[in-house]
Order: sequence, then structure tokens, then C-alpha cells
Amino acid sequence: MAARVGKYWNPYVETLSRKEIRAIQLKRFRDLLAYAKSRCAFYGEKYQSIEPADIKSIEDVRRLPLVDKEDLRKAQDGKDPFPFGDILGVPPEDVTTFRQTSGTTGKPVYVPESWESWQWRVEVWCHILWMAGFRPTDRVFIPFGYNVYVAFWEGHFAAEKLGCMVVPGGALDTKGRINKIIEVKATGLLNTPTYGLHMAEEAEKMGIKPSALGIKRMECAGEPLPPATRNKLEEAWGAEVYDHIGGTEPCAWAAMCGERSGLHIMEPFFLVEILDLETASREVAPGELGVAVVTPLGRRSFPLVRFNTKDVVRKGTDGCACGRTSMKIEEVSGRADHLTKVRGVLFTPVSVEELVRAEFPEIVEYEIVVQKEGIMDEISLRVEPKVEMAASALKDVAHRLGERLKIKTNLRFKIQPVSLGELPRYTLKSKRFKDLR
Amino acid sequence: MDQGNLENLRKIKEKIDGIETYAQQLRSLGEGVPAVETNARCILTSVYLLKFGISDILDVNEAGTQISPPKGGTL
Repeated sequence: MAARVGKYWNPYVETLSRKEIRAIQLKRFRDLLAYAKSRCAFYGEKYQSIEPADIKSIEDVRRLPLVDKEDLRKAQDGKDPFPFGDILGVPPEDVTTFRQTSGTTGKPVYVPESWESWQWRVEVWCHILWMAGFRPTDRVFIPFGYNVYVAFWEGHFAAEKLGCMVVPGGALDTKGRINKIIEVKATGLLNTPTYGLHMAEEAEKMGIKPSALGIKRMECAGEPLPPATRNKLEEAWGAEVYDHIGGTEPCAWAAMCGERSGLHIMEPFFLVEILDLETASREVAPGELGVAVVTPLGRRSFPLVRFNTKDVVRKGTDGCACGRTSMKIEEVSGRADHLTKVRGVLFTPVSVEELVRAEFPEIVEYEIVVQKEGIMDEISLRVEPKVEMAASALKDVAHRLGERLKIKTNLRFKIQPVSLGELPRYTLKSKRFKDLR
Repeated sequence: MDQGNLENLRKIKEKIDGIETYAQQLRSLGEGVPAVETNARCILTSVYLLKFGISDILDVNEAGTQISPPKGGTL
């Protein structure tokens, strides 16, 4: 054990055999289901005919219907105790933390956390940060006001628990944040990929090389982080950049280790199923894309059972050079609700992100718009150059981009260059894909 | 899991159980005193997390990875 000290946050958990992991998951699943049925009207009704004691295998788990965001909205809408309704798993007076989803796809879901459940989330994040190499000697800068959204609160509290010095950077503009990084000699950042790129761009404008700022590692949140974007961030900041995936409802449930190749599912804190995109009923094979269905196995204030995250991921295998034994996902491909058909072709906006960041350093920002022109779908890409460019050079970039997109996506894009500063810059969740059909 | 690790886990689990007992007693003794009750509750939350990360692992090992389904309805 001594040799492993320092490498793992909890070596007992992180090096369990697959058999042990599965046994713990199933036990915790039964416990959670029994608890949820007895405390939440929503689950009492939904799983009325299912006895927790009958769940003895993963096949038994699959008999339970999935829960999605719309179910949660309905369970809360106008129901007592306000505003959490039939999904609240503890007495209302035990709720200590209020968070909500961003409401991008409809009415927000309100997420109650008791002290215990919040600390459970923080513990998961301790695993994530430790895995990414954060240590008590780090000074962690978080360049956001966190508001009612969960993303950086968890990271903040987990970094504190690790023993890092945490510097919150809300209520500063980007220049102020860069200056604060210099002032406190920050060594770590919790960031969105978009804002990481934006900060790098602003630092350059201030005559500062981002790689000279002293940031050694960055944990990204809030958006997909395809390899090209991660490479670009690593190059700009001269830092190791780590990805994770999660959400307000289930918590973060998979994250990168030092190998930075795929994401470890945070077993046995979670039971994660990667199911086929068409029916969400069959576990996909390693290498296949599927939708992630997540059960957090220890939160009592907001119990979630088989929550369909609608995150599309590529399933990996277990085992890793880092020694952790959890299952991995190879990549996060996007959101099922962003996976759309354009002129009959399946399209995901992440493919554009990947291409632009990998091959077009001239482009600093972009926006994808899909709309109807007559009866036809039209897809256009508005692109903003990094610096002022001659019309002929811009035309050349637009032409190359159109050609590359055609090969990568099988779609013919209308490329529309825009002026410097015309496209919005995002801090938290970016909205670069607009489907106006 | 090897015997050395199992032995260490047993010792840790024993301490976790002890802390739980003391924290519960503390909470009872301090009933009506928020400074005692609240801090005892925080200790019990840490106990919950330690059980999650340690005691459950030992239980699954000692049960030969076959844990019986629960009888009651509480977590």
C-alpha cells in the first residue's frame, strides 16, 4: 500500500477488482432504490412493482424504466415541498444547498442537497482533482462567479478539502483575472474550455504569454473538450489540461487521470450504463457510441435512479496504465439532444469544434446555424478571425474550411466570415449551435 | 485484496465505527445546543463518507463479494 500512497485519493476504492466493484454497485443500487421508494413519492409510484431485494444483477437493473429531465420537472412542478416536490429525499429542513440546472432545454430542475449529499459530491470531486494531480501545495484560481449553478462550487469545496489554496475570481473582468493569477502565483485553474481559450487570447493582447503565467494544470468543466481543443489549451497555457463529464443532477461521474487518455467512470460511487442510442435498452460494446445512464449511489437528498443524462459517449474498457480499475469512456461525443439530422445526415456540433480547433488557428470563434431555406435545411458557419485579415486570405480560409467540413461531416456548409469581436464570448456554457428550424 | 490491506481496512473500520458511536452520543448529549448538535452532524457526515470509501469495501471483501440484499428500506 505504501507505494500507492500519494498516487490515489483512495487506493482501496480505486484498485478494486471488477467483481468487487460490481458487488458494491449492486448492493448500493438496492439500498438506494429502497430508500428512494420509501422517501420520494415519485419513485414510490414509478417503481411500485419493483422490489429492491430482487435486483441481483445488472440485467435486473435494466428492468427499471429510465428517468429523464422531463420526469424530474414533472415531479417538481407545482408540488410540495416547494420547490423540490416529489423528488425530495430528505425533510425540507435538511436541505442546505440549492442548485439548479441552466434551463437550456426548458424549465430548470431544482436540485436540493443536504449537508451529507453535498459532502458526497465534494468527495467525488476530491477524487477528480487528485486524479488530475491537484495537491495541497496548489494555488487554485477559479475565474467565475458560480451563481446557482453547480459546476465550480463542487470544485471549489473539493480543492479546499484537498488543502489547496482556493482563489475565487468572480466579479473581475478577464484582465483582472489574469492579473490575479499573476498576483497570487496560481498553479491550477478550474475553467471552461471556451473561457480558457478566451483568457489565453486576452493575455496575449496584454503582452503576456499564457504559458508564462505559471499554471501547471487545468480541470475543465461545462462543455465537451475534444482532443484538438484540449491540445490547443495545453499548448497555449503550457499546462496539463484535464476533462471530466457530469451534470447538475447526477454530479460529475467520469474524469481523466494523469494518462489523459479517456475518462475513468467514478466507480463505485456511480453505476453507469452506456446504452444504445436508438432504444436505450442494450449496453453497447467497447468502442461504440452510446448514451450514458447514471445512478449516483450515495446521495439521499436528491435520489436519482437510472438517470438518462443524454450525454453521448464512446464506451471504453477497464484498466489503465495509472493502475485504476474502473471502466473508462474513450470520449465524450456530445449531447443526444444536439445530435440532429441535417439534410438526412446525422450531425453533431462537436465535429466542427474538433476541426476548427485542430486545423484553423486563424479562427478564434465560430457559430453554427441550421435553418430552413424553402423546404431545404441550410447549415452555415459564422467564423471570426483571430486578427484582421485581407479579404483574399479570409476567402482562402473559408474555402479550405468548407472543403474540410464537407469531408468530415458530409455536409456542405455556407461559410460566413464576420468582423472581429462580432461573435459572443462565453464564460460558462457556450451556445455555438443554433437550430432555427 | 491481500491480507495486509484487509487487516488495515479492519483496523480503520473499527475506528470509523468508534467515531460514529461517539458522534451519536455527542449529538444526544448536546441536544438543543446547536454548536454541539451541528458539529456532531458534520462528524457523522464524515463517517458516512468514510463508510462509503472504506467500510463498504471491507464488507464486500469479507462477504466474498456476495452481499445479501437489504431487509429494511434505509440507506
